[in-house]
Amino acid sequence: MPGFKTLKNLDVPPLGDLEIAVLEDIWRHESSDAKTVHARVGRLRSISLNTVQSTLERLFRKGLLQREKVSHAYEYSSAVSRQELMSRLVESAVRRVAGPQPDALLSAFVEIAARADDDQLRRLEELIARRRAKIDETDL
Amino acid sequence: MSSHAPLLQFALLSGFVLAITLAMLIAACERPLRRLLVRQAPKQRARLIWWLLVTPALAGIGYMVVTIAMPSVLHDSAKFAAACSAHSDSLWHLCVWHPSENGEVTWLWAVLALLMGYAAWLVARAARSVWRVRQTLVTMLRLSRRSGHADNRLHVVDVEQPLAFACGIGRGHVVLSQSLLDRLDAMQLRVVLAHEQAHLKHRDVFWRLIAVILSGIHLPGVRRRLLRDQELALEQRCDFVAAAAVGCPVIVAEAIVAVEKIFRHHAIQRMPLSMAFLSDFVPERVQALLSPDRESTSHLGSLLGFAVVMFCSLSAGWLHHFTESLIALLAW
Repeated sequence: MPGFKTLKNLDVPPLGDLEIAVLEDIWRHESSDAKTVHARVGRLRSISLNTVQSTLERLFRKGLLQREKVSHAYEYSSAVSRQELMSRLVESAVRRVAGPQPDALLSAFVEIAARADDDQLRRLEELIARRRAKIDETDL
Repeated sequence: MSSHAPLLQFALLSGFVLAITLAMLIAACERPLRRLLVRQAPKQRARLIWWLLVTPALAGIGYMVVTIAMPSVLHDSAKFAAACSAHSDSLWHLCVWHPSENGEVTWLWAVLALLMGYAAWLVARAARSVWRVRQTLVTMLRLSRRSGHADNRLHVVDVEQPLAFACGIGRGHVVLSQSLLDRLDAMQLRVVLAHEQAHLKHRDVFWRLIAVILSGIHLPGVRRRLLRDQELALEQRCDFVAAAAVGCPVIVAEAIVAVEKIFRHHAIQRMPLSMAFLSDFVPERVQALLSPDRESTSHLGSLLGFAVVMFCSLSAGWLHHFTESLIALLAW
């Protein structure tokens, strides 16, 4: 299909308010055609069927929806779940700074965390416990 | 005034020389400076490091602007015109900043253009990256839901990874993942929120972005260490704000360790353009919270500021001669 992209291996594209409203509607109702989405989303926002159709088309091209021709109309369903999309957004932002060629500016915001090891964490917990005991003693 | 070109060339070169000189001075004094900074309270330390990061670039830009603007501001002043009679037939300027009589060096223009072009390219690339990450964060916020918390800047996202960060360079937002919310008790959640709200209140993301951009003139190693020190100072400052909010620093220390335990089983990267609750400074943050209060009455900031202003003022003559010599040498 010309212009069609799968979301795999791509950054998640930015989404506008209407696109998110349409996507939320598809997530809620599993699959719908443009007229049905327009009835649920478009009328409330006083937008035309054409606008809803082009929004669905854009979401399809962005790889967020899939579609199947039923009779003369396309039936749209989601290609990714809400949770999956959100996880990819997180990955997408992180990949830009933690990838093989991290961006110099954004790298300054990100350090691949050198985690405290188990021993260190245990020592910190002991330290906190001692301090807590001291406070409790003082309170008594 | 016959032409502004030599003055502009002089201004660019002297501004650049001043910025580089200050960056080198900071690099030379890095160790003692960092030792002094460690003794400061987090709030003051964060502010001082920010100034150390941005001072060379700001001083360079300031010097350029003053060199270019002063002659035009004082264009009609006979007093200042008389002060620079040596060149008054060609250029109006303050004597201490006067450009070379030799005028401009053509090929130096090419070098300066190259430097300016490189700087512009770095800024454009940074702006593009920031814009793209911003778009991603905006989409994430649009897909998030409001928590029902009194603070309407709090967003909850449905992801498996535990997330807690403050983002945005304006009013800002706090983003928490549902998975983290499910694992925190009420007090820990209060600590996390107070910490992130402190980042928003102080506009840490915005100021850090400025510091990251303007610190580009520093040596890479010095810049990395200073940015890291600044990040630790910002986190510790927000820890102390959270401690004041919940009434006890030990509770904050406990929350940091508890959140660390949750995070360690998941992806360990942090979000860009954001200040996350979890950083890789867990031991430093916990120990700072458990150590006795350090109310700083240090005048280190004023002293450093005074030293920089004095250096810039005293270096005006030196910088003027050096830049003139440099231009004369290049023209020779």
